[in-house]
Amino acid sequence: MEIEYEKISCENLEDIDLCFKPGINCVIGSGASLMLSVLTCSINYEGVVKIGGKICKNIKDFAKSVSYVPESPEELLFNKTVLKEFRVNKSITRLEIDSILKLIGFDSNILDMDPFDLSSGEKRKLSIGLALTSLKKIIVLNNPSMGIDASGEKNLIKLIRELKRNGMNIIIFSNDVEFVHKVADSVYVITDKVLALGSKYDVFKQCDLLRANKIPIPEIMEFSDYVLKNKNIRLGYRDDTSDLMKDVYRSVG
Amino acid sequence: MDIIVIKDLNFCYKEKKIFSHLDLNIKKGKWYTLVGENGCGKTTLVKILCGIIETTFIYVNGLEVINKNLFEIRKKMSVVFENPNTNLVCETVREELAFPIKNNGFFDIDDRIDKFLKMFDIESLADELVNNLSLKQKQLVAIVAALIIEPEIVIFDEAFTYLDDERKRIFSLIKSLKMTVINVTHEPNDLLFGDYISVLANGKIAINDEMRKVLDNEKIISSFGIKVPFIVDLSYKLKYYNLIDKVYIDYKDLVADLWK
Repeated sequence: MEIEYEKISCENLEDIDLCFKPGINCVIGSGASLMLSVLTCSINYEGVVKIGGKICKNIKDFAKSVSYVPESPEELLFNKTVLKEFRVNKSITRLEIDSILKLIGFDSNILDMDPFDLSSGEKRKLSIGLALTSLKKIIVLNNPSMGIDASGEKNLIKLIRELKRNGMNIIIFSNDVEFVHKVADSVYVITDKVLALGSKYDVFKQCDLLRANKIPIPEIMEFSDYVLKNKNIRLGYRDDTSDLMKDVYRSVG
Repeated sequence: MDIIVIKDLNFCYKEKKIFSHLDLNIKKGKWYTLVGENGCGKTTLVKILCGIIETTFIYVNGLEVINKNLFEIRKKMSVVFENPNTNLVCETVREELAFPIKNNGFFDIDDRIDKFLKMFDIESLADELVNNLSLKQKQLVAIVAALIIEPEIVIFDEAFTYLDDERKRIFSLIKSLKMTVINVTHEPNDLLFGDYISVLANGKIAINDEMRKVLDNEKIISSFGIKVPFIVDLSYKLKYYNLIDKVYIDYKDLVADLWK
């Protein structure tokens, strides 16, 4: 199920045409939050947004087809226990709850806890779990990696990949290029227009373009770019330091 | 001299043990980066330090953090929490900055406001309505409001989450004010900035040592599940294969060493 933006214009966005295909799509850049506001019908705009081929006219249309995880987890929480939060969806079974808890890295002890007693990172994980109860085909996450520790981030990436394996279309709006670099299939860089799009490799290797538009670059790319420009040595485009280290070893050795 | 002293802190919340025989000493004028896994009690510790949660054997500036001393303690301490919406209480930015100045009995309100607006390059926001600001702008205003009284201690509890592209600049400005800083954070690169790194784990301060000593010891830092900066992580791997003999915190120095 796809999300399409057709000729979208609003304050600071000009004529945006985009289609988020199935997979893990990450949107970064100064225009990313406006793109999200358009999708959630929070601002006025010209053009058309389609979800699964149907025109999305208002927040109801959006909510019918999309699970949304907001940036601030508290927006989804209002019950006295975590179990009651899950049971807002009256049709959910205990088995499904346990399965979601396992997916987001909690054990069932958390069900009796007051959600507002959880730490900020725990609330964030819970908000993702709650969004999953509605079993939609598209999930939109707003800055999901904010305030999450190392193991939380690993679990989040594992979870997002699992959602993709289960056939979900995932769209992440994020400021965290390090996280985007680890998780994305496709990256969309939005300023007042679509500045760059493609695989993370295609996008992040355009260091000069991104720098000129004040878009942060993953540090692994900054390092490789610095080595190329200052030592004229080309390191491969790598996902993590383990792979990068092999390139360095070959080139120094 | 230690400006904050915590001795043998034991604390439970709803039958869950949060801290167990926790000791912590914070030196005056130094920058501490406090890290730990989600749920380990970082924000609870911050609330104890500023007296929102009352317990015993916590000393700030020589005063025990109990109800009768809170007014004196809070005149010299500022705290900025993560959610900028909960940090701000006034209608305009100027009023927001004036609020702590008036509360602390200072009279040079306009001079202080002008000085800090200029220092943090937010003069254009002075007469804006706080509600109209972006989250990034709100977070910056909250930070400036905390610093404007030039407290002796400032505690940031994940207060820079919306300011990623400006962290270095803002940290440098804060450092120039020569306060004692505790920065509670999940951002790995923050570890590179301060003087000391403190790790909260299993109800205790497991590490509280100089930044370089902590980062040089890969086994210790990784055993607590702490995300280290990219350059430190790369250094660990290169060191393992004997391509370098120390941990670098600046990739330009690392590159210069690798490809002499």
